[in-house]
Amino acid sequence: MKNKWSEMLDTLSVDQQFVVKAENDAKMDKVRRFAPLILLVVMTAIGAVSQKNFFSWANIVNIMYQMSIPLVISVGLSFVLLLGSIDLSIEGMMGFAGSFVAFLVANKSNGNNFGILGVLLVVLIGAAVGAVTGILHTKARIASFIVTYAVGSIMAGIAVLVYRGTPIQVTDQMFVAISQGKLFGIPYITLIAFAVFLVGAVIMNYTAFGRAVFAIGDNETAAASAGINIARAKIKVYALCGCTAAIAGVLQCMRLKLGQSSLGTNQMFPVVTAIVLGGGSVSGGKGGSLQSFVGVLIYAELANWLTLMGVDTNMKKVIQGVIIIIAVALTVTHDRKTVAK
Amino acid sequence: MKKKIVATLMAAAMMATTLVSTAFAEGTIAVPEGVDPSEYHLAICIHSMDNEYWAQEAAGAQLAAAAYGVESEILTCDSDDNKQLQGIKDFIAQYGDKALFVVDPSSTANTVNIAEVCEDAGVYVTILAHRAEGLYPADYPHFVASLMLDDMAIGKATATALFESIGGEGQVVELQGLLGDDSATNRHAAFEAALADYPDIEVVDSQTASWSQSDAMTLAENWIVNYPDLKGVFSANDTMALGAVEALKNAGKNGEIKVSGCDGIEAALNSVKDGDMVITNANDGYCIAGYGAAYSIQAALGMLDVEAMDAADRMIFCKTTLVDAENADDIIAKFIETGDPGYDYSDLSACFSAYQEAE
Repeated sequence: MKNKWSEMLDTLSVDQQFVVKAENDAKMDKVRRFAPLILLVVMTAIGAVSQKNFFSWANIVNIMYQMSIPLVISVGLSFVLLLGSIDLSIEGMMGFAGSFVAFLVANKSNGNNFGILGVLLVVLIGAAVGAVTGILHTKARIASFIVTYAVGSIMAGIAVLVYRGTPIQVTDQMFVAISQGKLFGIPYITLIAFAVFLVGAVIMNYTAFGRAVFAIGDNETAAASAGINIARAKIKVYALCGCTAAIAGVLQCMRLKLGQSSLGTNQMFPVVTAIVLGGGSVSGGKGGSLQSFVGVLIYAELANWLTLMGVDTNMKKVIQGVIIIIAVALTVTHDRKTVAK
Repeated sequence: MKKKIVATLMAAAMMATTLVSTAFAEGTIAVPEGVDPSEYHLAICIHSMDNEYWAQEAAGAQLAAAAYGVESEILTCDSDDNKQLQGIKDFIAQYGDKALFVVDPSSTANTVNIAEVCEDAGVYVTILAHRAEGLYPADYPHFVASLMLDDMAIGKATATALFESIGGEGQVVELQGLLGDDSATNRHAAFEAALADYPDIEVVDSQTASWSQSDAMTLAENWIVNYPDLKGVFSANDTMALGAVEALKNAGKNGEIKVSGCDGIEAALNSVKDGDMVITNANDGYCIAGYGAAYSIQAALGMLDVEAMDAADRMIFCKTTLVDAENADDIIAKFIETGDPGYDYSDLSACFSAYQEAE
């Protein structure tokens, strides 16, 4: 059975068909591009109308706190997803970074007090481990979800070895000051997260490396024939993702003041979801920093709103799931067949 | 030649192990004439050493074994049923009827297998914390006792202390553990039971933070904004309570809004001491695993006639300690700093708090 659309197509010549299809695609693309923004506005409006506290400054500060760490994770993860790959090591890396930084700065378990040097060391380790992951992925040709899962499990294991069962209590004054301090009402943690985001956005949009990542995600073969060094770009992407995961782990430790492996648990998938909500694609080539930012904000607002509404825990999971499916169905293109590479 | 070297090395290694384990064996408790306690080997079966409570269980059982002069060894299973069972079988194969066990089971279901393997081998075992439905020590001559923690009583006590600290009235919120988890279910039920006695307490929200500190912190941040009159936070474990404490600190409300926890991890004990948490419960691995070991040891050394014991005496809840600002220093000193609460493991009744089944 033919519908009107295909009947119409039949009456056109091939090149006319192509023009119609291209115009149609462009229209859909525009809708898709603005869908996340519309979703954000709708979400905010619903929040404001249904909850008097939603727009209170204290709650806005809460949303800023709650989006900070996902935002930092999203910076590196956006690059990975643009490639069409995945990084499952983020949670283990966060657990390691949080545990090890607690071990290095002033704490109740040992006499260390390396302060900012400790933080820098942990972030560097994060980047280095990320680079090793990238090398294993590209040179040893291990699929990204396997190698990153393995690396994540190694890092989580090392994290537990660092504190041997008794989570390390952080007493470092810098950690206390950063987690509680604000500048013009904006928490320091959020300012740090914004700074990391800006650096990521500049790298993604204004460097040859950023363009290379888009090109690889869109069509790896074409990118290779255009002379892009695919392996090197991918290694850099994993190094960047390891680095931001380590920063996220450190920030999480600043917030919680307790260094333990579980501080990374369940931190990654919400961010993948958020990036997709913002218009990113898990099959690569689509998305960007701003999309990720919008996605993270939508997700943080949604979670915050559900708590303010006092929605029952089980219901909350159902609602989150349904919203995610709807949003992803609206934003994902259907003509690509690949999932995570 | 090579074989000889290997053999020498192995012998040396074995001697070294023996030396290490006998270092514990002080043998301060008198054993019957003609029994050499150092011939007996206690296996301390726990999940893993990477959790404060399990590490405390291992330490308690080691202290008890040392007090009787019995050798001890720690077997971890990473919560894997097969691994735990295999470890127990291997230990029996190694030491025969001189083997004895104190087991924190990998799962409730595995308790049946553990009891049967030990019964078949004729070695004594005490099982901690879990007992499958229909499994009774009285049906097994070698299953000495089931020692459990009274989740209901503990949860009720911490909730009651929280309610009292806010004057028995006002708004409270509840942080639940992982949905579907045994302890989470019991502690939630205990919270509800405690509520029945306090009609003026209003539970404004109850959510799960899945035992996670960061989830709990996020929930608490939102609650602080949404319920300006909030007075208390009931948490099903210490980790989540500490998340709530961090949120309260950021809002400058720590100590003002009361928080209760459970488990007695080091960070929480410090938090109680600092006044940021009002109460927690030290679940006390030294007690349950130490006395658990003592039950098995006494049975194996012929100091306890298991078959003559009353069925009820073989199914008990162990003592735990509520920790508030007053005794926090004392508990930290006993449990954390010295790592030896100084229990008399010769007196089995010292750990008793209640019978598992009220007759």
